[in-house]
Amino acid sequence: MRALFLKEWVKLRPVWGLLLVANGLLMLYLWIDMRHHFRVEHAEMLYYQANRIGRLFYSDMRYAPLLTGLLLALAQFWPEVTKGRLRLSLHLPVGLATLTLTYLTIGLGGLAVLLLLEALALYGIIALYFPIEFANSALVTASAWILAGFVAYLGVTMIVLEPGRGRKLFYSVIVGGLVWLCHLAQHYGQAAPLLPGLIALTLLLIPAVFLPVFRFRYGGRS
Amino acid sequence: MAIQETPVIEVRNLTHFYGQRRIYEDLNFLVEPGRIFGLLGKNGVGKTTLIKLLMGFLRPVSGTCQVYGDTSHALSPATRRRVGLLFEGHLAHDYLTIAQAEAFQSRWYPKWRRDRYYDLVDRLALPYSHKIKNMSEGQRSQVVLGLLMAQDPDLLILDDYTMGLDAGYRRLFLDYLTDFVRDGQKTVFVTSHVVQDLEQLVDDVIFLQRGGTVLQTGLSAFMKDFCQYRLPCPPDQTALPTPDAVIHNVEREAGQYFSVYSFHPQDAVASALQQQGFALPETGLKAVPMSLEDAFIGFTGKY
Repeated sequence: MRALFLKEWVKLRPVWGLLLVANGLLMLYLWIDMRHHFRVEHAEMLYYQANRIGRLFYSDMRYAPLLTGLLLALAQFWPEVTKGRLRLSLHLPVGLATLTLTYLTIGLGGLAVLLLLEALALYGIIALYFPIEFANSALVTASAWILAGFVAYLGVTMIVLEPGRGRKLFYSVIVGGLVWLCHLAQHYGQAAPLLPGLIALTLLLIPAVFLPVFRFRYGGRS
Repeated sequence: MAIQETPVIEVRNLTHFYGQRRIYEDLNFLVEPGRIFGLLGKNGVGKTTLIKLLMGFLRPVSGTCQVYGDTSHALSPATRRRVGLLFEGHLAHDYLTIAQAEAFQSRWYPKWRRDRYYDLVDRLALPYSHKIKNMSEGQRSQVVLGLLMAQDPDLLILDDYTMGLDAGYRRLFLDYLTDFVRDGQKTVFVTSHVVQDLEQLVDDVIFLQRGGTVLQTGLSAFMKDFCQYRLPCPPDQTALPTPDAVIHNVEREAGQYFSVYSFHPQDAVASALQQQGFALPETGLKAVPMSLEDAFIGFTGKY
């Protein structure tokens, strides 16, 4: 499996690096923006807006995990399918389930590192200007958006690998609905009750990826 | 009692459709170990589809394909390890460098022959850090061939290895294939658009035709039995002999000739032509020497 890790890392390295830089720049922007707010407004006004009105000072990052997951999945699987290279991997002397799990581990691992760094940066930025309770709350709010990143990765993987158009459409609807649920909360703390369900649904997507992989392997039949 | 060897490939009653279009119906053939099989057929008769079926990338509508005794859509990792597969277009993980490609592939194959890979790749005179995607088609084919040869497979399946290759690279490919087969009990199953290349290489041929009709035969037997007879065809002559039980095919040639192709002896062909009202040349009917490409055209028709 080490060989597969190495190969996938070589393939994903440029895109992963770009996503790291892009997410880093976004967090830098959030920090500069936050610093600007605290320079031009009184802190108590900002606390009031955050606490009483429910303003999210970090809402600019709302769709960043989603885009990160989507782009990472596309970088990993789109060229494999369109150029036919996935068949090379499928011919390797390894079981299909092991191969699929390895690919997913690599992709999800790379995504987890990016999103974890993003979450840590968010926590750090909020904790720098607000009491720690605000930082904890920001993490809960952003967790749903971060989950959307994993949903996007797994969903795009399913859609790209699925050979049948009808099923592609079906998966798109399911994944679109899950992504919508992940972004449903508009104010801090609203996402908290949804999180266990969202986590469970996201985890269910992992075994669900196996179906399109098997269908791809056997030319569109289950 | 002699022990019967398991066929490398066994196709039984294979039927496959794309939508309503029949690709094969009741296709049967065997590939014995140590033989080189050429799969010949015009574009669109299903050569690549057959390879996809054999490697389990498609499931047949009915019938079975077996490779080393494994059903093709359930090939075990151990069987896949024995099969070197060249995909159409010299498919490769082209984001890897020459060295990375070798490092990646070598982990999967216990009989890996690193010397074979670098023997081929060193001819490119490229640094090992050169990425495959920055190579020409010919250079990439050499890397892919090197990876296949280093794998040391028992069965080599080559799907149109000639695609995009100039004469020099094609010859190099053929030389390596010939050495590969001489090296041991290896089996090769090859398709190619350049039919003449296979003449020096293959022991047996399988002709695929539209609708799934198939002829499996030894190459030398085919070249001995299948004959071409050339007759003059004046410009005002529009009617040509019609294929029948004796005449397999008739093709109009450049230079006011037409050719009659048949598996039957000269006398039988002469008689069939006379029965259809065609006069024989004064010198009598004589077989014309044919290359495999001529025979292929004669057997499958020009268009």
